[in-house]
Amino acid sequence: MDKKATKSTTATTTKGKVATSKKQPVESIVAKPTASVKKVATTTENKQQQPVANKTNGAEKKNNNKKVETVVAQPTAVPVKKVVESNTAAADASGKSLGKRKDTQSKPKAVIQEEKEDKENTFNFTKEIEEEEEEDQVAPEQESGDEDDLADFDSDAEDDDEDKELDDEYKKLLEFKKALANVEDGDDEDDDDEDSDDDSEEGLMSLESDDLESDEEDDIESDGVSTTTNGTATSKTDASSEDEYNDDPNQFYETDDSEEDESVVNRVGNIPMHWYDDEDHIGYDVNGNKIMKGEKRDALDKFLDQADPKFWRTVYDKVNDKKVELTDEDLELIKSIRQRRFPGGYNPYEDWYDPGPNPDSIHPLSNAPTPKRSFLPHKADELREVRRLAIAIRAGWIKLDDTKEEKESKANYDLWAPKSEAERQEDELLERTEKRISRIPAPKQKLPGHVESFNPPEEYLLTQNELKAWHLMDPSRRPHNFVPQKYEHMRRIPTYNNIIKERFERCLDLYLCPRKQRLKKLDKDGTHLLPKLPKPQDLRPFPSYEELQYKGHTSRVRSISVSPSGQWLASGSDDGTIKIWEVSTTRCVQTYNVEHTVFCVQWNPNKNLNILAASYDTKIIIITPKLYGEEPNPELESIFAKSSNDGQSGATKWYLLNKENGIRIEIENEFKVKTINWHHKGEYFSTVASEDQAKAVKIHHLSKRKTQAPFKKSKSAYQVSKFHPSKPIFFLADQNVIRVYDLMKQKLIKKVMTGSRYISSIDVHPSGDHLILGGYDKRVSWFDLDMSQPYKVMRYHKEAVRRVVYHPSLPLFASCSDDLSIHVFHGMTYDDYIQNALIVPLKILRRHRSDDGLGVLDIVFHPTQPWIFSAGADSTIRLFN
Amino acid sequence: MTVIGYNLVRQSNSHHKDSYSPQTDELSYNIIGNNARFVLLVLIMDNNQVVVKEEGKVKVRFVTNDPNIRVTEIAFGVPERIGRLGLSELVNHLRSEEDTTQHKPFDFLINGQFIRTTLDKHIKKAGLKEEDTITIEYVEAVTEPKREQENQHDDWIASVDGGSLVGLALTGGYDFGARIVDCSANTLITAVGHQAAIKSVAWTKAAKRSHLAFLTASLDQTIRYWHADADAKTVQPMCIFKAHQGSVESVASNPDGTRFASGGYDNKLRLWDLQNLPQPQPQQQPNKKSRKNGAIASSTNILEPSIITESLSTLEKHSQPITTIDWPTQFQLISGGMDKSIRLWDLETMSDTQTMMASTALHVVSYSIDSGLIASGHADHTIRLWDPRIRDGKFNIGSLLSHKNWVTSISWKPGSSTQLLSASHDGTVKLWDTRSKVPLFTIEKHTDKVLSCDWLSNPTDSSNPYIISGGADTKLKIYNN
Repeated sequence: MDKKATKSTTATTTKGKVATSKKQPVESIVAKPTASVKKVATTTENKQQQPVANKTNGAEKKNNNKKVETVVAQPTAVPVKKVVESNTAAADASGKSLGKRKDTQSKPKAVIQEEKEDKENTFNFTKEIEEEEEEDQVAPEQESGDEDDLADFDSDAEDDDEDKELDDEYKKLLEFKKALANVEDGDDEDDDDEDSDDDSEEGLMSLESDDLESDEEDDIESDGVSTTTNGTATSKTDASSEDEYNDDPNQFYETDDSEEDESVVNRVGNIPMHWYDDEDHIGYDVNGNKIMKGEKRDALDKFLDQADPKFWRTVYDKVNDKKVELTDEDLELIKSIRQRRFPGGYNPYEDWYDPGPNPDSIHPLSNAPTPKRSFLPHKADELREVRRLAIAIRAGWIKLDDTKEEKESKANYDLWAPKSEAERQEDELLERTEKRISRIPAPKQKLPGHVESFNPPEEYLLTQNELKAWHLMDPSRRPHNFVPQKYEHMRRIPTYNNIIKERFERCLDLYLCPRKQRLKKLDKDGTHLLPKLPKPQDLRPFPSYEELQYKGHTSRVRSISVSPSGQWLASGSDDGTIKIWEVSTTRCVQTYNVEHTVFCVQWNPNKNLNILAASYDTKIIIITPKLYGEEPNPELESIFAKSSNDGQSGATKWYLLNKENGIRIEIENEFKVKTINWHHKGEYFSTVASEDQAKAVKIHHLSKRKTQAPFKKSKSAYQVSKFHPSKPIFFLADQNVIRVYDLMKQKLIKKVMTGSRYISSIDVHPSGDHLILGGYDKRVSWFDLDMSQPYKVMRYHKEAVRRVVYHPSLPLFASCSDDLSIHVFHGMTYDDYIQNALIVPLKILRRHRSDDGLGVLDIVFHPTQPWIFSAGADSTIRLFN
Repeated sequence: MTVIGYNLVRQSNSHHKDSYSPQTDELSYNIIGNNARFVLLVLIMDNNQVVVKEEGKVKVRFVTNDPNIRVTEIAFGVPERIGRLGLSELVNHLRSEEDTTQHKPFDFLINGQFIRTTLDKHIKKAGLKEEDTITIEYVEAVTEPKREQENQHDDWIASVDGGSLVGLALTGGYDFGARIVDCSANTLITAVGHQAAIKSVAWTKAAKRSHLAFLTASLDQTIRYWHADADAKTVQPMCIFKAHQGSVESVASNPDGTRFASGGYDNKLRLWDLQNLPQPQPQQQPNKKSRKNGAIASSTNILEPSIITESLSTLEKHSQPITTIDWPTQFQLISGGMDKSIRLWDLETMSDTQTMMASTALHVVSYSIDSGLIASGHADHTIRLWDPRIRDGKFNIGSLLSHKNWVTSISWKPGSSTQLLSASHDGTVKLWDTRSKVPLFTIEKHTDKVLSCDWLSNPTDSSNPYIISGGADTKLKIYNN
């Protein structure tokens, strides 16, 4: 019926949207201009018969409480004071907004009017209202009467629709405000409570809105007939509500709910309001009094209302049956809702304000240390617990653990009892898992020190120079990967940049950890690799100091030999002499001049004979030095007496001499005999000529004066031969191989592949089970004759090894070399086959001087004493003790 | 007037004599020492006032067993840093010998140990209290003999024996001959007959110059018994003991010369009887060869020595050659050898009663009659002292280490329980006192190895025997003061 048609389209479009954002703009609606209240107040003054309306209006404005009270003069006003202003304000505004809706073109005018509004006196306003009422009153008549004007009707219906929309929005606004009020109050009530509390309003609202929507058509139909159609209702409300207010002076009396929503006078709840269409009241107030319907307003009234400049902003509150004029704020709010914005004045991006610790907070925030007693259990508690447990045990609720006893019984484990199948499997499993998985504990992280502190001691902070140096330093060399810094308090500490990286590295460490096989102990000097040997001090006696020198030779001493008694020392030298020395006094007792380089001297092992064999040039001579005077030794003479077989045996010629100086036999050879070795009984001796020829190795029989050459030519030249110390076994070494022959069976027993490139010397252990060999390849090897491989190969000489010897009685052996050193070893052998020989280096004797690259040419041990004699290229013989 | 205290003060510059201060009755003397001057302040007082002991001083009292050098036994305060020399000078002064030429050097002992450092160090080392009065025993110091005579031999001297009472030394050497040398280093007699070097000689009877008897052991495996007359300069081989299978290294007769023992490279210790020996028979045919070296004693009728091949007994306990034998008293026979053992033999049961094992081969043993100790010379340069009376097995009571090579000979000083002489391959002869770790003196006159040394009794002054030594430099040296 109104000319709101222009707006209708927009209203309908926004209608749905409003619902979505209805709750937001609540706050802005809170503030109400006082003017509207005054208006209402004036109206009440004018219309004495509407106390309720006055009251509500008065209650809305706290500021104007007095005024209202004076006007109404009712005790119920007191609780009403608290009523949130918004509702009535909204109600006021609804009327205005309605008016505003009507013509958007006239909006500027309206705004001016609004601005003026405040200044308008209340009287005028009441007039307006009266006019509106009049119009409303006229309107029904018009409506009912103007049935011919269909277009009008249509437009009316449209208007009605639009009105409805506005109403809807208003309702939503109300809901909004309520909800906001709830929120603002900071209600901690449960949802249920909230529901129950708000049931009356929300339910009502929702119902209303539902009805409104569903009843759109009904409204149109019943427009003319029923008084309760929306269209009519809106026109009526103002008047009727004013009437109703008069009826219920105590309607808000002392209700909590009223506090929440003062505007809701009608307490029927959220029901379809058309139920009351046929009644003369629209519901009941809080005290159960009927709220009478306001004056019915017809279409004419509505039309007349349009004359009201605030008509466009006036809405009809169906529940309370009154008109509400929307304030500017409300309008703004609605506007923003329609535009789907936040309501004006609400900043969703407001800065967060930290109020800081609340002084009234119930939680202590002091950092005073927690008293110790707080950790201790209260005595009473303990007693109570004990009592409880005792009772429980007595009652049998708690069963005491018997496992301990079981464990004890397990400790007395019957070792010999047959294991059950399960046990065996368990053991097996356990064993397997324990063996396979050797867990390495995760590497522990270093605990932070003072440097890592947020407030490190001054000395940890870097100075400028240090900082520079730190930056210049290679990252891997830096003591820390951060610069120690000082912060006032922990809140100032920035995020640590490398935390991800370090976490990652840590994870990597842990991930890689199980793969690392840690060595038990990394010993850099490698001493742990050395075998555990007894200390040389514990292996005394062994030669360690040079004691005596046997001086007399003028050239290299090639060969030395100690008599079996240990009293005499024979030496052969390049100066063409063979000398015999008294060991203990270094006295040279005999000298034989043979005028050739003496290759070898060797005492006969028979103690009683004192026979010396020597070789020079191609000759071997047998000497019986007259050490004990002229007195002939019958045993000795018997050897040389049997001269029957004197003569030749092959190429070897024996000549029996009887010289004054004691040279008894001369044996002429084809080759230069380099080594002589006596059989342990002193009957035989073998000679080796290092010529690469057959018959280089010969075995001579002394008393029979016979020579045999049973050995074939070898691949390489024979070097040295040895008789076994006790058995009829013969060792013959060429440059690489040692062949072991059984002299009785006359066959090769064993062939020792030595691995040496050039054997220079071998010696057989007094037990006969071991062998040492020295080579010109600087190596000394120890062979266990039961093994095919050398037991030990030792490379300690820097030059060719000239001689290796065993001590005849003590567990010693030694080697000498051209590097001027004599190495003395402890070489203990054991009778049981399990234990390997123990070789301990004892002493390096380095006294000889070099001569033309030659060093120590020969060494020999004293037969009983721990003395070693050495013959050097420096023409000296030395005794080491 | 009594002397109640002495105060020895080291004085750096003053050497004026006798600054007498009448106020304090102080007398000061100057004693001129080798290095430092000491002023002895003698406080002479009429009353018996006691001089307060000052800081840094030790109270000492000097005692001695020798009445000739005895001084007062009152305790004195002496500076604790005083050494042997200062003490010696102090004692000399106490003897009130003002003439420094009459001064004798003294040696000082505290609890039987020679002072070789300063007094305070010695006290500290010995663990004595400085507060107590320390009794210092002093003896006349043994000084290196000043006079030296030598007798040139033809070859190395292997053995010397100066055990005659008449001051005759017996030597044997590598010239196969034995010589009798008097204390003026004149060769009296040369005994020739061995076919190899003589390794050991021993007097058996040497009480009279005209009736001398001695033994020589040789490399030729024999021992010869000789009679000699030093006055007539004759020597007669009496017997040849021929049983050893190796060279005879050592020979020793019992004190009364009735038996002797020999040992050698055949590891056997043989006992021989010197009584009831067959008299040497006149030579059937003159010896075909006269020795080149060693003038044969001028005896017209040559008597052929009888040969004895059977010893009284043979003691076969040594496992290695016997190098030394000592027969100091009638019932004590000691032998030592390369088997590192020192064996004491019971001559009644012919068994070794005691064996003391050394760590190295030994070359010489010597028994001291006065102290009952045995000294042994070893191949490890050491002289070891043994007390055979100790029963718990730890016979070795000490060792004297100063030689730089094998110790070849040891001889206890006759009549002394502490002094012994040693010779070594290093060419030195040292005199030791068992109470000191350091030799009393070292004679380094030899140019080569010293093979033997001994005391030679001084017929004129029995308390001051000669020292004889011989070795590889072929010189027999006789030293005395």
